Amino acid sequence: MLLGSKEWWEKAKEVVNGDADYFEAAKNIHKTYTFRVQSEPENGIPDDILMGYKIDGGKIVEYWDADRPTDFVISGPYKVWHQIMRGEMGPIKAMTMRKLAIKGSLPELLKDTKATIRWVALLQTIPTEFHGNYR
Amino acid sequence: MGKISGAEALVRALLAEDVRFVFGIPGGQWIPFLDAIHRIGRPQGLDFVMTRHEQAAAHMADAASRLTNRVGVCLGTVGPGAVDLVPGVFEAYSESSAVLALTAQVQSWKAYPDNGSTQFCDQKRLFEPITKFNAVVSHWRRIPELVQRAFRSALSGTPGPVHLDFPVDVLYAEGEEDDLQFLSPSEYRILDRPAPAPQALRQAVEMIKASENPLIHAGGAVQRAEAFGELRELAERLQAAVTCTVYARGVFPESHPLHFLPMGYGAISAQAEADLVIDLGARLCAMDMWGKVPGWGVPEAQRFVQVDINPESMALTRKVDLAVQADVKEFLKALLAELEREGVRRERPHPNHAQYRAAQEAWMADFAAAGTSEAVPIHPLRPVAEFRSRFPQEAVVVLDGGNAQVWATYLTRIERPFSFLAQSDSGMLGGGLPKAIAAKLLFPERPVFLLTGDGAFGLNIQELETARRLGAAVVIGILNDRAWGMIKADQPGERYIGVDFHDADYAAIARGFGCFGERVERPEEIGPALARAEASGLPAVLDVLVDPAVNLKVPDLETLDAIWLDEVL
Repeated sequence: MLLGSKEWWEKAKEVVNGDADYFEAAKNIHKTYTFRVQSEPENGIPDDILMGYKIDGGKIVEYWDADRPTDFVISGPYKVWHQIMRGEMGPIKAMTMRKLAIKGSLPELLKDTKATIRWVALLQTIPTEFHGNYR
Repeated sequence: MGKISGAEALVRALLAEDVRFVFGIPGGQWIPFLDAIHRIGRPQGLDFVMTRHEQAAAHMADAASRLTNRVGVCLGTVGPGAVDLVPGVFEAYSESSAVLALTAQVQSWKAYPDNGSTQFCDQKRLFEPITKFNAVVSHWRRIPELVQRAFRSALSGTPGPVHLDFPVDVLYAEGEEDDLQFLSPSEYRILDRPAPAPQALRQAVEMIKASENPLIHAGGAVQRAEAFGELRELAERLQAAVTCTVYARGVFPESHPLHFLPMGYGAISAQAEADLVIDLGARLCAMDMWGKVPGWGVPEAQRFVQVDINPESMALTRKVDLAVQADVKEFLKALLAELEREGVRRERPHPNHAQYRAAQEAWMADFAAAGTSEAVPIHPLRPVAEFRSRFPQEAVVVLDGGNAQVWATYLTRIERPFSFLAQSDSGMLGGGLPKAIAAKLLFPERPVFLLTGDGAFGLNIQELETARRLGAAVVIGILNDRAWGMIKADQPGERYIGVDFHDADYAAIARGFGCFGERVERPEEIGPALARAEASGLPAVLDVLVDPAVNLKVPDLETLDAIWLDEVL
């Protein structure tokens, strides 16, 4: 399943929304997010990839691939997202070490760290196909 | 006046600075000095404290300096003894601690350069990179002058270690006492603290008035200036968030509603969002996330006032909007007077403090729960919580180790100044036990406890004998995972190499040294064992077997590693 595709998001909804640990950590989260996966033309990724979604009470309730205003915008090179999805770099490290840029309230994001870590761990279970030279 | 030897002159010079302890291991060259301590020093309150390794002596001098804001003194004999001081002096250098290292040297006519003497070492060059000042004392007449110069250097600006090398003939040499000048401190060094320039103060006031969400970041300079009351008064007047460096823990009560714990998500949030930072003597290096985004705000949106007694410390990692050269206490006193004159006072903190607190509490929630864990093997946070709750706030808390120190940081709240000793910038292991012993010698009435990893503890384990001999009843909790846990955690794919220990019984080792020792394998045993340890009246070791698997997963280790290795990872 190609990262960010409809098929991939549906699978993400299934694994995330069915996970009790994530629900426990995220049950008070009602936020919207945009992941901006930045283009790398030299690696066959000509344009930025946008992955927007909404978490409502610990569940993914909506996702989209357009540029919409969201509570958080988290941006970074494709390489970094690839490393995170493959478990080679933790999401908190990526944020605190400026591998990913954050727009939005850092305290709010840090408050939900446990949920974020679990969320990424769940996404890592999806058989994900990557773009360009990251295939 | 009569004759005086070089050794006697050295004792007199140390007495002039009210030194209480010289820590070290004697060597043949130091015999006249030790004899002078016996005859002249002891009646006036100066004593020699023998350690079992010179590294420990330097750590003890470091602790003495940090806990008293005076110069700690350590000693090693020529060659091996001097070399063995180096690790402890390195830590003092990294942590800006005023330590005087004394080394003996072979005869002056055989040294510099060496002509084949046993044990000769070029100690002048050896100590140069880790001291602010060092010198070979080439003649007995120069002893008072060079000791004074060493103290002046150690205590001026940002403190740090200094070193004097004494050829043995200089210690034995005698001359007329009238030829020497033993000055009191006010006669050879500046005791007044530098105040801020009026225009800098004015600018700081205007920046504060323009700020909506100020933050005060307190470094070790607050402890050295003893500006605790002023810091609290400023924080409360401005309702500003307060964060501290690891070194400075205790300069502001950690239970205060304006305080956010070092490296915690509350602190990071507050530091990232503040529109004004008043940095009191912190250099914003690795342990402060380099002063960079996202641990701090972008320079365009965050004005930055750095106050430091040392202009060389300004703007090392980020630009400043206002650099103030001043003693922190003098700056705060003057600032508070100006703010009072202008009626600047806020009634409540910025509304976002609630978010910072929520971020901190979310970060802490699992740690607090683990502090009461009933799991077997024992969760590393359980002994940390048990130790902290056992001892009162006036206790001196000493931390040592890699993961052990990280765990201990989560659940050891420090409420008072001069109550906390740990390595921060140095990353040095093994200083915990010597520092704890020094703390107990300096403050026999205060409880002292050490939380350490087993690896770190092993580096100076022989100092249990020192503690027993001196009656320093410190209580030690070893978070024993039988490994170099922090390094092991980073090794890829569980291909562990060079990190696992044999299961040493540290309780039995402690008993062998004449101390109290007990191994603890279940969480409910910790409290009763602690009570028995205290009741023993002896230096006590609780060898707590912690869960090695859990110890590999310190929650913030990945972030800490990334900070230390920065862009390498």
